[in-house]
Amino acid sequence: MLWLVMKPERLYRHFGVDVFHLRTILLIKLAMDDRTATGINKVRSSGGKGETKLATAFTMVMAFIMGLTFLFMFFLDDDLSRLTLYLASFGFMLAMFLVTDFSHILLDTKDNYIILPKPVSAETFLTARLLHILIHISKILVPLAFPGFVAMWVSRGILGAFLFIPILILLTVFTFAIVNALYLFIFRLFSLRKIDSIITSIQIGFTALLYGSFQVLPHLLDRTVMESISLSDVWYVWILPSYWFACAWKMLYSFQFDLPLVIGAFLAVLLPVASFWVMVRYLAPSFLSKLSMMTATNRSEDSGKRKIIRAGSSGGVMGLFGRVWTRNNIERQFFFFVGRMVVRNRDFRLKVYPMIGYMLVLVGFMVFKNWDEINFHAADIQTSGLTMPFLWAMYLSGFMCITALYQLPYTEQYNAAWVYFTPPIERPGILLRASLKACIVRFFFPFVVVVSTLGLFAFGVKILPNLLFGFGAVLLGVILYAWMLLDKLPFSFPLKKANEDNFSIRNMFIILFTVIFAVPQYFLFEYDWVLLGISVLLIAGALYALHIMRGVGWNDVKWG
Amino acid sequence: MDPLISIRNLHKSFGAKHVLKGIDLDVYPGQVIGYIGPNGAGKTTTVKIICGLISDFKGEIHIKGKDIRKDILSIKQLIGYIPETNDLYDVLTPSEFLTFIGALYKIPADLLTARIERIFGALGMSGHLDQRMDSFSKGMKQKVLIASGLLHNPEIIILDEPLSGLDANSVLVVKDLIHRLAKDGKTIFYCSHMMDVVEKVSDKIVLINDGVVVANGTLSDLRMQLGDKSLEQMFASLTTGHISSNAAISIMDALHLDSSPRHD
Repeated sequence: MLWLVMKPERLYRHFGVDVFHLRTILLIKLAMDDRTATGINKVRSSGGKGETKLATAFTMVMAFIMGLTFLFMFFLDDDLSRLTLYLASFGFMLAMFLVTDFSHILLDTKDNYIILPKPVSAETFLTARLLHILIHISKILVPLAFPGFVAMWVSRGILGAFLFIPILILLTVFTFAIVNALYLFIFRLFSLRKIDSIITSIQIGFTALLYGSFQVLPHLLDRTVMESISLSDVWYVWILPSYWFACAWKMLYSFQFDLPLVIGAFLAVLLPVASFWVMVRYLAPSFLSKLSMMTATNRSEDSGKRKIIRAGSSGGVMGLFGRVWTRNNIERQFFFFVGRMVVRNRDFRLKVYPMIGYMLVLVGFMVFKNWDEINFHAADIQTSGLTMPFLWAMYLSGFMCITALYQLPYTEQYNAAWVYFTPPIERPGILLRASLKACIVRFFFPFVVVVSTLGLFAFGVKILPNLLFGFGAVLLGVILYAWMLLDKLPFSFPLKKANEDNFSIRNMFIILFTVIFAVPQYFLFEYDWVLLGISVLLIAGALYALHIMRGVGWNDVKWG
Repeated sequence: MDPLISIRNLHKSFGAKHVLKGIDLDVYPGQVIGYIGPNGAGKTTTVKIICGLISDFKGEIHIKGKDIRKDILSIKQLIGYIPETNDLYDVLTPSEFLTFIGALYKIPADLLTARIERIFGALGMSGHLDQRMDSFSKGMKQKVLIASGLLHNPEIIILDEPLSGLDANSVLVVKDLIHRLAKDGKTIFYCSHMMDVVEKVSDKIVLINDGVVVANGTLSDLRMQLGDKSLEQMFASLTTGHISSNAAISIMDALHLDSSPRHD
């Protein structure tokens, strides 16, 4: 790749670029890219510094797989509809990759310290930055577009495929300008820390979307429906820029010059050129000045914008449970501490939240897939066709809670765990129990409330024994998991250890527990009194396990 | 007088690496000990063992006559630990963090709130009590850690590089604080690289190198043994081998190798 972009050496020299400097800068930047966990890599990566290898290869493979999933749009018969949908998905995915994978290049203020003080000309510096961005985009673009290119070749021949290339380039320029504008917009409105948290949230959403779409898209392949779709019949398709790009391709491929096609093609060329011009002329300078301002601003001077967080006792649901469900002040404060950390700690959020999103997509998909067979007005759940989604929703809440507990000990700030060891705490069991309770309130109770409300609303109190049994079993499962396998204090281990630890034991535990409880529940669905009787035992067992967890001693916990 | 901290033949290994090789040390009440040594000498390991962060070591440690292995809880109540800046969960606010720490020492809520507000006010941080620490400078984080180590009014205060990132005014406050704490009868165990500060605040200096104590005494004791040198010079003479004493000369030689820049 580097060899390719370094080819027009003469041209670079003509513009006053020092080719030796240029190559040196690009070489080091590409090496750094490969070792930096960004975007989806951050979710995947094992964490610790220096641990990330082959980040580029992973991103490329992910982009290629995404490119493959778009192929189902080639089942559409109508060229315009197919391309409109394909290009819309392509543009969206590219924008997502850019937003999540790109922030470290756009926000790289280290250049200002490291390269600018050295005798490197402004031309060389700017060219290096542009080429770096170009290389970075093509690492995503090429694998993402490749499956579509091949499919185009197969379905519309070599001409169709090669006409596709300029269309994709125009779309890329357009997307790039939009993402740039988005960044600028975020910069204008928010502080540095807020930006970081916004990008993290986009990363989380994007990862959940990726997991979810791998699961859902293949099931949507209903050819008979797909073949009959025609978007060109509706006027509002013009709102989609991807339709204009599709028009441009169709005009060139079929050599038809109908007015709508010409207008579309005109817009497809005008838009990227205009947006590129706006970007270079207006956005880029203000972006760079904003960036250098950010570098120059001392963090402590930023204090005016800092949000005030009321401390002391925690408010809301956590505050309520903290007061009624903890035995003493140590347990209560630790409960608040973990409750805050799980919503604020970036490492934890990046690992756990996408999984939650993914599981929600899964439940939603189960309902959606059987939509035709579901009868919301049925007298009971068995005849409504909702038995399986209902069971899934209940037991998945347990998986979510266990995922959160599994991930709880790992963070890059594990050194801060000295706080558990210097105070005179007799047994860490009380800390583990408080962590468990905080996770139950944060990750389990919301599902109990939502699923119970929906269930009771749709089927009345008849559903109650099943709710009690299912959630009782999950509660017991979660507490037993913590009692048997949670041997590390929260946020006390380096992230890289998360992958080495007993991941498979956790999965075994989940499977075993599901087999023992979910399967019998499926068969006992109608036997209310049996379910009720067992529920009482399950909940009593859960509370007892929670009680004895307090006795866990210092020798039973590990510290990174 | 019995020593407050008594360390005998302390050994600690991490795998095959022998970090502490028989440390012997007595610290008396009200003393300020400057515990110095080059990187990797074993300073932090010693501190972590005294604070109860590392429990598998060889040797004997008694604090206020209590065996650290048998009576760790009451010993922890005596010690206030102030670690390095990065050792902090910075997504919390100082108020949340300090309330949490205070609860672990079972400080009554009213007293805790009053202490936090007073200490924060004295450190010039009152306006930052309810802001998240991830936007704090290094110095501000260090002040939060200083407050966290003093909250329970401990008898022994262990400071690990407490001045890192602090501005000149705050350095003065901390130095003054160390004197006042010592006057109040507190015992201070001060680990640092900053020789000039150690020289000024310490009653007694303990220099360790490669896991063993190589010098132990007051500054004047050390001057009697090693000649009339500054602490910096004593440090250099006792820890040679870590960096060559001719390092500066070697660097100058490297610069004179070829001074013409590369042209492309």
